Amino acid sequence: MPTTSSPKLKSKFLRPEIIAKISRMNFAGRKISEGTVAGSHSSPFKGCSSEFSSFRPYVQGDDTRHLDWKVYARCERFYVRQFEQETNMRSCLVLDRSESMNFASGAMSKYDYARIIASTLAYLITKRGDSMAFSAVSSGLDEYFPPSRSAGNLVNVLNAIASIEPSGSTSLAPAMDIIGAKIKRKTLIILISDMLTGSEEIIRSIRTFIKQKHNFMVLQVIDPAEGELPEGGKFTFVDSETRERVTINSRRSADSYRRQFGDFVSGIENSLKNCGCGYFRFSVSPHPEDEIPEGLFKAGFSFI
Amino acid sequence: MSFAAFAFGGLRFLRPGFLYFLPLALLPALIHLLSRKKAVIYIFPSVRLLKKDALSRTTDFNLLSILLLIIRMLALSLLVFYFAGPSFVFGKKELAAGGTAVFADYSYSMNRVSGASPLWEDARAVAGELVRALAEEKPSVFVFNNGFSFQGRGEEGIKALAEKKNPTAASVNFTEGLSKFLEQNTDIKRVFVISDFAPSSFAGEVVAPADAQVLCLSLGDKAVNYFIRSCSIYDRHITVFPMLLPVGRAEYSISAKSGAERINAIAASGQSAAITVPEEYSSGRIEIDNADALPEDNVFFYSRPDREKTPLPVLRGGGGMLDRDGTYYIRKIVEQSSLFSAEVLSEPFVFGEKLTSARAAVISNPASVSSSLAAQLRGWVAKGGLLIMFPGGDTIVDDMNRDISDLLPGRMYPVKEQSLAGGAVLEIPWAGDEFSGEHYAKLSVSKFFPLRAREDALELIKSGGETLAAAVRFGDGAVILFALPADMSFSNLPVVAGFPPFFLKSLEYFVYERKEFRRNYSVGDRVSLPAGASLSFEGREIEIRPGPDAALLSAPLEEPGLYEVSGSADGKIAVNLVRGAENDLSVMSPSEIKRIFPGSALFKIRNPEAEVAHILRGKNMSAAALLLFIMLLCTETALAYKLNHS
Repeated sequence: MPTTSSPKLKSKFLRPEIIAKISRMNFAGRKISEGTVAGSHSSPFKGCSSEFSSFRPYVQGDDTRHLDWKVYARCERFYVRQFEQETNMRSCLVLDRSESMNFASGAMSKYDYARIIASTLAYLITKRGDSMAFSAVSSGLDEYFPPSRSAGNLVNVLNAIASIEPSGSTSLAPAMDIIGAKIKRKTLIILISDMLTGSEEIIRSIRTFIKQKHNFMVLQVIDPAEGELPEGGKFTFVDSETRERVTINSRRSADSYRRQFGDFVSGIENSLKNCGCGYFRFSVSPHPEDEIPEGLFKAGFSFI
Repeated sequence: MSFAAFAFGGLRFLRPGFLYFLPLALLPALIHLLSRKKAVIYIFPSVRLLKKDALSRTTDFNLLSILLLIIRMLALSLLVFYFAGPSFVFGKKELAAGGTAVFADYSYSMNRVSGASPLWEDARAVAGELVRALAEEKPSVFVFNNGFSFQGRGEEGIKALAEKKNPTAASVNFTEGLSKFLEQNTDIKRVFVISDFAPSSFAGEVVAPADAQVLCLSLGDKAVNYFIRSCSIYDRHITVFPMLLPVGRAEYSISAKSGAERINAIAASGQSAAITVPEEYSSGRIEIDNADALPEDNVFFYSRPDREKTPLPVLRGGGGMLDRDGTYYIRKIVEQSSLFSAEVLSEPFVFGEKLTSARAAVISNPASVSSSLAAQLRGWVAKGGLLIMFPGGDTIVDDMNRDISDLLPGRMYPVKEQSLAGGAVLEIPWAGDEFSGEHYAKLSVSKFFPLRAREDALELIKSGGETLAAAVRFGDGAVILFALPADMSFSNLPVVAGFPPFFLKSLEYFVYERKEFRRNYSVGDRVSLPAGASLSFEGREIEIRPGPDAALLSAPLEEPGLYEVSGSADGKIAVNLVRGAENDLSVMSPSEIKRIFPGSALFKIRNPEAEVAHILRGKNMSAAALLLFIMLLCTETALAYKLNHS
């Protein structure tokens, strides 16, 4: 089992104080994971496990070890004892690395904050013995690490998270389509993004994932300054991704923008929740060690 | 500044110097450019949500900003225009080269004070402004009242106007004169008529050549218009007929004043009032208290000096009852007068003696006149006596025609029986207009002595083409001969309404008034004075020239008031305005003025200095510029508020 003290897992985005808080956390997804190895997540497949599931009549070819002799003694018929198979969870971390994530009103940018979340989740998933894929997306799929439960994968993912810098514009939907093509089994997809993209497209894409029985979780990261316009009057706002320039009088448009931004964010939240997607909005703060565990818990991770 | 003022096409400016401030209109644009802050560049995650409020993309905002800027610039421009005094010539053709004439109303009504000064002063100011503005053309300056007179060209005319006294003359119809003037002076292409446009001054229509322009400059506003229309003086009782406008003003008070002293005052109502002048005052004036708009619009009165009672010898011819020869009626008529005492005499020699102390005498029903009496009569009448003769049933006309034909105003014929009804009173110089046809309407004659008046005689009363009374001058005196007896035998003459007052008036005039001189005149009249008399007004001598009959005639009187007579006669003469005309301050409406001056331009002048310039330059647009400026200011405030709070 990897540890933070291991030299290989050294990453500035993997914070021990957060790890300490979430080490007993597991994801209680609404849909059952479809893993490949026995693990801590219930699997729809019946198999070897200590958890009894049901009886069924013996058929030729069944392992005789599973015959329940006590039932046979009572009713002189062969029944095979079935057990619930415990499986591991397939996860896919998707990190939005678009330029908009680089925005920082304080010491920490949204991207750094997202990297902390991603690193923490990568560690948590791997620690639980689940396989984890990782992808960094912007306008397409920029980086992809196939699912693996090995410690080496975790190290690679953590290194990738630490090394990949934000660039490009956000176009999540095409990237998610590519990821969807790569995922063969039911997977918990965790998208960490500011969601400043065409919300309808990404929500449609997420809805498609959910219809395919995948678990989907969106962890939206926004900067507190994004919801308010700077004070002072006339500003030319330059879009960090498209370099488009918009000049406004912040004094005149402050209320209007605040209202629009609130509507935009709540619109995304409602849309996601309505289609069965887990959602939590992180607001970048200088104390992620408090807010990330709490946010993850609220997003659907539970302590076991 | 000349007429060729600073102009942009039809737009002209009274004070073009202010246009140098026009660049101030660029101030808002300048401030806008200078205060334009460079926007702070701010890298933002996404501008998707900002696009809606973007200044560069908000069409409304940009439009409003530009509109606001334009409005501010326009407002400042209008403010500059306002001070520059804009005026606009609306399609007015430039006048062809030609002269200009300025006619200033010089009638009495121009004395009215409207605003701060009398209208006449305003008229002079307007004329002055016109002449100065059109200095290059040297306009001809005229004044008009009862006719018009040339005052001079250019500044010379204005100088003449300045030297003129306040107007006193009544105006008569000016329109006909102006039409003739324009017809005869074809080089005059522009005529300015400066007047209060009182109806009495204008009648008919001014006919102006097609290429001449008449500009009417109206002075003064509608005024309080109470005045004394006419006045009748009966010794010390003066009946006043005021013109009270509006009609609802029924109560008023009248004062009689001698100088500044109020000698009597009465409250009155209705269409007339009588006020008594105390005996000690022989002259003064009557005025409606606090109502006369014109300072001299009041009635100057005179009262005659005390007269001594005069005996009137009446010689009755024939014999019989007194009532047969008419002396009864004569006595009854004379009894009504306090000035005469009739003394009926039957003896011609006694009558002849009485003549020496009498100034008038009556002979009624004489059969004939003896040669001695005839001689006495000739001498007496020639010295100024008035002889009134009534024939009668005893009269022998042939003897009369033979013996005193030179005394009689005509030849008498024997009695003719012919019915005559009604009578016409001809012009009687000493009675004025006191008698009319109505006074003899009930005259009924059955027979009379036909009378053929002499050429130098004055026919007094006629009926059915027949002369019933005639008068002739004889020396300093006069003889009045009736064709009817003074009794009721031939006619009802003694009881006809007009006869007694005519008889008494004739006596009064020849005995008193003719020697006293007339004391009641109107402005414009010439005063007739006895030889050796002089006339003055307010210390100024009035020019007097020899007149007919050894009398003196003054120059036409120009001002109303009390004139002083001195020298061989003394006393005061009241000179009043022609009533019902000049002191009627009603003015014509613009439509009435336009009707009299068809095709003319009418301007109401309140501030001569400022408005004359605008008249010459077109329509005054200052008020419009100011109004527009205020409207733009309001719009600017509303827009600015909207921009700052949207």
